[in-house]
Amino acid sequence: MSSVHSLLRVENASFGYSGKAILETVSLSIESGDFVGLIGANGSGKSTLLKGILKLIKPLAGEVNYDPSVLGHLGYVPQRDRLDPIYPLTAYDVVRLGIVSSRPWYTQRSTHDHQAIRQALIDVAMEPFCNHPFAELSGGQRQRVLIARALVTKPKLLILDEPTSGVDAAAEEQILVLLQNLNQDHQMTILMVSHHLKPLQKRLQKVLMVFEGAVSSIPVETLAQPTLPYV
Amino acid sequence: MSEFLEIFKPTFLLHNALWGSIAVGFFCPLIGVYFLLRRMVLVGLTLPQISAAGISFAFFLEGLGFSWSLHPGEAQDRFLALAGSLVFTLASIGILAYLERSGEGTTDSRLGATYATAFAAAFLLVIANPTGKIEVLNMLQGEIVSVTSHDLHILLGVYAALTLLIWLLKDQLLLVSFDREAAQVMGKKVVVWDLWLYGIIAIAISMSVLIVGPMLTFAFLIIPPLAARRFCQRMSSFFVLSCAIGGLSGFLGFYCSYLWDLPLAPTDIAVASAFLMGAVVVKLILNCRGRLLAPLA
Repeated sequence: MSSVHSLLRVENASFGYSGKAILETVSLSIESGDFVGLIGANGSGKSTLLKGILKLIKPLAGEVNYDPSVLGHLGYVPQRDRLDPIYPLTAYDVVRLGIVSSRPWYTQRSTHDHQAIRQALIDVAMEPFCNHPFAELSGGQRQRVLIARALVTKPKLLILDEPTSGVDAAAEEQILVLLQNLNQDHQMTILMVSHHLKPLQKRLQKVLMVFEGAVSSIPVETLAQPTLPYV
Repeated sequence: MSEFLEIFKPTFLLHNALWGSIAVGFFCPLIGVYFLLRRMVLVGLTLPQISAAGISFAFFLEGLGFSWSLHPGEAQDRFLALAGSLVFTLASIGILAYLERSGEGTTDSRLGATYATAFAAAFLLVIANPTGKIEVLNMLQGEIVSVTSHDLHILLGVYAALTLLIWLLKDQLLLVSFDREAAQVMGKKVVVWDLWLYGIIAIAISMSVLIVGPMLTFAFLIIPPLAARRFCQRMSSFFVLSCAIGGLSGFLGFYCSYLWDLPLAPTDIAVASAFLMGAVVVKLILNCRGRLLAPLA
């Protein structure tokens, strides 16, 4: 039986730009095995918090600490629309970049890498599309390829930025089922930013809400209520 | 046909110029691919012009009496031109990258102003040169016709080294170009990889501008990858096809220039542009054919 411990701990941190705080005294922790939703209205500071957690911006105050086991095993799935379609990459190539990101530059490709890439694509049901141009896949398919790219690094903590935005209901359901399976069957810890609340209700174990410059933990059941401050 | 065979003979007077033209045409698209993918085509226009201004500045300093360690002569002129070009290109990349990060103004306006300033500086510094070394103007147009065997060997050696470097670093350069944030999250030092890429770009542009001038360097950086991108679904094929189109443009441009006594740079650019237009037409035909056949499939 594995013990529950914090994979990510944010303590009294303030995040912002050019010295001006957008979020202040943020404290939160993600425990091993959690499936956490990070919600909030557009412009509430979700992206700022995510950048702070990912250490893409330095906290103006406080600390962001990862458990040592997460270092080198942090999976990140960006918003797919941020990735420029001009790059001539197949789904396979995109997943391979996950391996590239987790290795020193001088490391040679191996047959083991090839198998790991194939397996990651199988895990997200995208193996039949491995030679398709990434830019020509549907929104939901691209999202699953990006999840495979994160999976290939064997992440302890998977962080996703709005993985279901702009996809149809069927694709959204596929992505959420996939994430639920990763969490339940593979005990993967997941932090997911989203503003699609309803489909998350049955799946999340914890919800963090960003509202008016603060981050608070709210009960999962409240996702169904239309009384959330920004709904 | 005899002219065609003649240019391949080692005794051909412009033998070095031919291989120089092909080499620049073949190599520039290799880094031009990154200009296109990173959507920094204007940087590709500006840097060669800055490189030309660097050449003028180096000779201007020499005219003011700054002495150089090498023996006077053509070799020193080449060294001087390369040093000025390299210093200006590297310094400009550093300054432009700093301004980009600090968010000062817009990228387009910065590059537009820099291009115009570099263009003016390149010529005014030659005019203001106290020794009246007007032949520097020829250098600013590229001196491919007067390329010696020694110059050609240096050019090929540097290009080969840079090609090897790009091949070794291609995965890392692709990662930080395609998904910068993910690379940072995974602990990649994206600024260090940017510096590697910019260093390669600066050396490549400095060498190329000396041989073929700023405008042809820009054309070879951008046009072949633009033509190739339409047909490639993998990075490897994108690199190979871009270089092939560039090398072929360099060769055919040289041949047409020799055959019809045309200036080399505009002829090379015209041939590369013809490849681009051909690529657009072929892609249109393929798309139409695909749409027509789709209902039958």
